[in-house]
Amino acid sequence: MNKHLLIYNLKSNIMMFLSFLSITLMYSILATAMFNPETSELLQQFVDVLPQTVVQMMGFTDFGSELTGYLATYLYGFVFFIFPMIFIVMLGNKLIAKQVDDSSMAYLLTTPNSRVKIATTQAFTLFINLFFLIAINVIIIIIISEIAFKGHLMIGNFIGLNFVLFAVLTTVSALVYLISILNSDYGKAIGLSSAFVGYLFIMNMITKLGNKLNILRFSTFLSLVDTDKIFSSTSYTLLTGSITLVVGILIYCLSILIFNKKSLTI
Amino acid sequence: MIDIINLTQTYKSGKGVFNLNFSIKKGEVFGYLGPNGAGKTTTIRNILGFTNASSGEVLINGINSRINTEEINKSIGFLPGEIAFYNSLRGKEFLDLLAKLRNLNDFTFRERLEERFKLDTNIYIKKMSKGTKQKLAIVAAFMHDPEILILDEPTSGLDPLMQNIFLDLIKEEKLRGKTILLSSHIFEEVEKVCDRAGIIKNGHLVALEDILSLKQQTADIFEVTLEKENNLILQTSLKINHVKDNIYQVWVKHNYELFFNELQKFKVIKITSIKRSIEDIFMKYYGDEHNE
Repeated sequence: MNKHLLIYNLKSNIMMFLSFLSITLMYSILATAMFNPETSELLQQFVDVLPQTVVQMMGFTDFGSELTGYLATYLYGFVFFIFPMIFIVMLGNKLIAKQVDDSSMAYLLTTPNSRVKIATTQAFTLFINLFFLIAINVIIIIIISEIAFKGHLMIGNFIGLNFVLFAVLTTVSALVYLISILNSDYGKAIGLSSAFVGYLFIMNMITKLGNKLNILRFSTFLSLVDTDKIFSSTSYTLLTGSITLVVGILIYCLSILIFNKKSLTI
Repeated sequence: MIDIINLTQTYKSGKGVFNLNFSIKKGEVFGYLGPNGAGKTTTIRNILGFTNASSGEVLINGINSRINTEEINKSIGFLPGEIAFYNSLRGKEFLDLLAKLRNLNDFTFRERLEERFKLDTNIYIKKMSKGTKQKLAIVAAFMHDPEILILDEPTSGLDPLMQNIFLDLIKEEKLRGKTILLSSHIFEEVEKVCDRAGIIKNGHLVALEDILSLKQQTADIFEVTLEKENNLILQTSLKINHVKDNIYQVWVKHNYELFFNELQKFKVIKITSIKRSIEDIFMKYYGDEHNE
């Protein structure tokens, strides 16, 4: 990894990062601040009036009167998938496919740094951006919860939930990075990776529609972020999170090796 | 210093380069000539280790350039044909980034170049004109004072004054022992600075010669002005081209006797010798109706 390139990457993408951070933080802060054990019942009544299909697809099935479950329902079915995944598609392709397509990669590859080093730096940039996006949200939610609703948030469960979420999104980011490396055409890379995350996301929404469709959970690995299992089983959380994270990192390594072998028309 | 050995790179379109063999010696300025699409950039991509050759290899100082790119890049400066920078940066920031990626701490050469090319590096790259971007690319290629320079169409976009400044720089670098590959379709600049030239046509190397002998192979060209337009001159056995009105161009290759005999028949008021350029040699390989 090259630290100068990493610093440049972080700096040059800071505006994009901050945009996605503010959108997600807005949801996180509002959702946490809106929590009220009494009004969540009201919210539940309101949701009950809406068409059940819509409610199920958004994941708003049970707000409960407990903060961790409430946040999981409110944020972790929709907001924390869609925004990080759009961010991943944009950043992942900007780091490789765009620079190969417009040949600016030629400048990086004629410096005395190996291709593996350059590709590892780009991969790490994506990984670390994703990490901070999730981590800052988690920290802010915990702080607000502790100030406003001391004791209501089960911090252990909440961190477990985010660990699995981060592991799953890391694997998504690794696959998007792989798509970015396989496609030298920036437009095509963006199209394919958008279609890919769109597929994962829509299948995950459909999965939640009912028991009959539950079998579809195998068609999208976003369904690994299963709040019920995460909250009830620490071993599920640790095992699923670790395995998914390792798979993600292996896909990153594979992508870097492919980039090293690839014939680049730059 | 640079050895291109049996290099073949075919693209799906059928284009590419085919069985190229040539070497560039240390301290030599090598002109690489050919029109757009002839295979110059494809060759350069292989020299720099960007592409995987279909067969053959490029050795730089005896090291395979595709495998040991990191090592080779320590001594290479590259000026791409199609320049794409990080547009959100200022010129200065871009050069700083490259300097850091090259672990370069000595900026004296860079400063001299900026001054010489009158390059304002405080401008954002996206606001730069094509010529300014080209100057930035030149500084980026030369600033770490590399042993080997690979320059793909380096003068495109430069005004004539800057082109001359650039060619002077090449001459100086040659005196300092640099090995330079200069690809171009502007024949005059190759003639001015190169020791040898390779001419590539449809992916095949069709000529590889000293600039001097290349020049000797070509015809001398004269511009002949007659008193008035007389197209009977076109019917003589001279290689001749009607420029306009009473002006004609004649190609003479060793056959001066014929030249004078034929011209005697006409009322000539002026003969000017036209400077031979690589272009005329080039025409020989690309086919030109007046030069065959």
